[in-house]
Amino acid sequence: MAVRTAFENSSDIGVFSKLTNSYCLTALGSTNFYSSFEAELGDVIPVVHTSIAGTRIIGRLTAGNKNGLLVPSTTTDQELQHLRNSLPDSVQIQRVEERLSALGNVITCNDYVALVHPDIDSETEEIIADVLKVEVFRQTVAENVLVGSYCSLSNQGGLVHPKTSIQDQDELSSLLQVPLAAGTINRGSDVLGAGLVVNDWIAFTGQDTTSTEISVIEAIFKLQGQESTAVVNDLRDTIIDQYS
Amino acid sequence: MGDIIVLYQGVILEEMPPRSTEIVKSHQPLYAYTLPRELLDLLKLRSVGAQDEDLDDGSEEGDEQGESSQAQESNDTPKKRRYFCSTTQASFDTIEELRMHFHSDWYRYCVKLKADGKAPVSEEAFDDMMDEMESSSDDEGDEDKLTQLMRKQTKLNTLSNSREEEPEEFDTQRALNRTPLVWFEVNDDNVDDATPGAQLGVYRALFPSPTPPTNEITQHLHNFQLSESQLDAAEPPRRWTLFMIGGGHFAACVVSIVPQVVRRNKRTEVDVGVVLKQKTFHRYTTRRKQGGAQSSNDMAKGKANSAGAMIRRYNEQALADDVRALMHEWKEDIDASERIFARATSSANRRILFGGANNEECIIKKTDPRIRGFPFPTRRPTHNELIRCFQELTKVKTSYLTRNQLREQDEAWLAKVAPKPKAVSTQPQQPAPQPEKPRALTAEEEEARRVQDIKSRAVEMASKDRLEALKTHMDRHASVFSNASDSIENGSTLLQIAAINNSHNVISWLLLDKTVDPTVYGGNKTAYELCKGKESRDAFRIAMGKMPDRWNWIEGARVPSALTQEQLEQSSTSAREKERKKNLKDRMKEKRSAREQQDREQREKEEAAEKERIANLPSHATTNTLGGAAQVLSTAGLSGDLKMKVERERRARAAEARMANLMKK
Repeated sequence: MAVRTAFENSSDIGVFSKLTNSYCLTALGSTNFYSSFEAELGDVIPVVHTSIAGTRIIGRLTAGNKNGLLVPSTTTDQELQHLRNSLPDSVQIQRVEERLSALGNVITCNDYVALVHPDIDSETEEIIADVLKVEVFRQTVAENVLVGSYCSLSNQGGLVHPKTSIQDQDELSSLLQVPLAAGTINRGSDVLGAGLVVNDWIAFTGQDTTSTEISVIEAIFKLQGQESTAVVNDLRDTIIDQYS
Repeated sequence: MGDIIVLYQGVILEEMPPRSTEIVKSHQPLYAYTLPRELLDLLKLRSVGAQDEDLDDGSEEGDEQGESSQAQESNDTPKKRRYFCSTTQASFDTIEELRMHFHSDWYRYCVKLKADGKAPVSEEAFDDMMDEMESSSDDEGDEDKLTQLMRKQTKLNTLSNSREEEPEEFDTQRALNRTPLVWFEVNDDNVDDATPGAQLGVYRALFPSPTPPTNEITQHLHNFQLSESQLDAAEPPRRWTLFMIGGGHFAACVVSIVPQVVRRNKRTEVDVGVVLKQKTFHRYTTRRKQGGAQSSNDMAKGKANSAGAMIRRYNEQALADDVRALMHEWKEDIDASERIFARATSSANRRILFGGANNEECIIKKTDPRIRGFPFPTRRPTHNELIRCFQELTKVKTSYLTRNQLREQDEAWLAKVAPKPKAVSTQPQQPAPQPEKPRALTAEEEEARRVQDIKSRAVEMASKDRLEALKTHMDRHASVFSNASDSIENGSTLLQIAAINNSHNVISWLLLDKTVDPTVYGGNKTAYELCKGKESRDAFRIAMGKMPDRWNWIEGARVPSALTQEQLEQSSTSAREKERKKNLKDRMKEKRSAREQQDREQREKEEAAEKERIANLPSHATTNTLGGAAQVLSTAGLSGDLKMKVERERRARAAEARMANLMKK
């Protein structure tokens, strides 16, 4: 299922929220926004109101999956404590001293694999591997180093920048071992990370997202029980024709 | 043109030499600012590796990529077996290999390159880079090698205001830009690869700085030629200012670059380098015998208080003041100068000319684009030296080489420059200032030196029996070691060197893998006879056993007999047998000695027990010293009479004991 929502009239919900299989973070502020998450997820995983380093752009500053959560070094002790109190005990929380502090933009991951910015510190790379329990690959998506911004992943599938070549998609797909599709969000925006948060059973998209985009998302992330092959064969080709 | 025959005095002489060389020769000597028009129009910038240019071409690379991706697709279509990394163009059979590849440094480096919009490097090139890194900096061992590499390269790139060119091509261009001369080729269609063409070299310093892009250089050459009106001295002459300062000497002059026609001894001559203004100073500033400027000595060791030091210090200041005053006086000329050449090697001297950190009032700013250094060694600053330098700078160097020769030189130069881009020599294939000397000579010398270096390293490895190192070294420089049987140093072959140094691993590798000729004599001995140890000799004999018909082993190489693996093993088993026997003997000896030892101990023990027993018998002796054995000796210090008494006592006791024993039985 994919749900459209907005954060204070902004469709870039990926900026203001973080969704994984074991928890969901939302920014302080818009109550409607929080409610839309709470309504869908409330009885399954904790939905936590938080700020990171006093800002609301928590989705771009953090990276995480069901195993852990990485927060930038600018996170205050209070925020860290709040997160520790609110998230399940199985989730490891770690502050990362990384020059590229918008972790959400430089890291994208599911529960098994993470793609990271090529320039990320090797120390950070180790932390990512340890805390999130993933295999880490330095990659680019359609020549973009900000893999977190231009890519959205779950354990079922992934959506990448519309200009990713088929060759790159094959390569990434063989790395991640999930089907990938190139696509857009929010009526043609290529910043997928900002427009879409997704886990294994639900996706939240920006208010502007078209129904075609929704159908691609539901198909590739298997949110409606569709066959993945159908996506790969039917939908991907048309999308590629359109954008690259 | 090639078939034009010149008739000379009615006799057919020969084909006319190519026009280009003719033109150049007819205008000798050439002056950089008055190149004849007919020549100028024919000039074309020589680019190193012009023949290979198509290979370096970016578009070609694009095609290649296209091809490889096509190849990948065609590989994919039949069955998804081959995995392909689009960043490094590497392909793998299994997904595990691909995943491993994504963790490799090479891949990570290529990703970074790709992110910067540069072409990826091949694995070999990357390995070379890493090797170089490791050899150049072992002190920063803790740091990530890749980070170091990236940092170094960004440093390199920022140094050269990065131009939008392919990395490899860029390096060559950079190296070229550091050469003192810009070479032009006289275009001549009917010159084939073997006939000499003409090449002209103009000092890079005459062109604007930084060197303009290659396609504009020829235009710049056209632009800076003297026009008619300038030649007629209708305008104020174009001029240069030259400075030299060093060791307390100072020489400066303003030279007109317009040549002057003068009549001398009823002949018209062209004077190049008409001096408009000139001045030289000398002040006593350098420390006699120790050398060095007073100021630098003061800086290093603190102010010296000698009278001499005071004088020199004063003179340094005075020299600086004199120079500054002169420059102010010449301000107009300096401002009108096209180029300012300055030789001021030490920072103190540069400060005098261009002002220092405290920004003294100076006529010339340090950043002035007209400032150039002299791109060749200069002597003590004198007026004559300035004139010589001016003439040298403005003279056009000529050479007459065939395209083949040029290509060879280019290759040699590229080979020298390419592997170590940072150590670009300032003197590539282009010749030294003397234009008449063919530049092939220097290039050959360079090449010879390089080859010599490679060979001496191989010799070192062979003599130290470093087989792995030698293997890779010889593979890398396969062209130098094309015939491994050749003599390599002072007439000895690699094999002989290995034999002398008892490097048996190298010997067997050379003989078996490289099939080096063992029959070559070094002095009056073959390599076998030069051997220092049994292992090396065995290496020869094994090789003989393996390839008995390859060489004339017995007469030619003077190897007495072959050694098969079997025999070797046998000999080694017999050796082992011998060893075993020896061990056995040793052990026997040991055992025997142990037994003897035991016996001795036993005996001693018995003796001791006996003595103790005796000692424990009731004694009437007045002296009773400690320890049983001491009893025997106790008589030593006694007088003869007493001794007899004790002895008698002892014997009596012994008799009693015997009696008692008998009684017991």
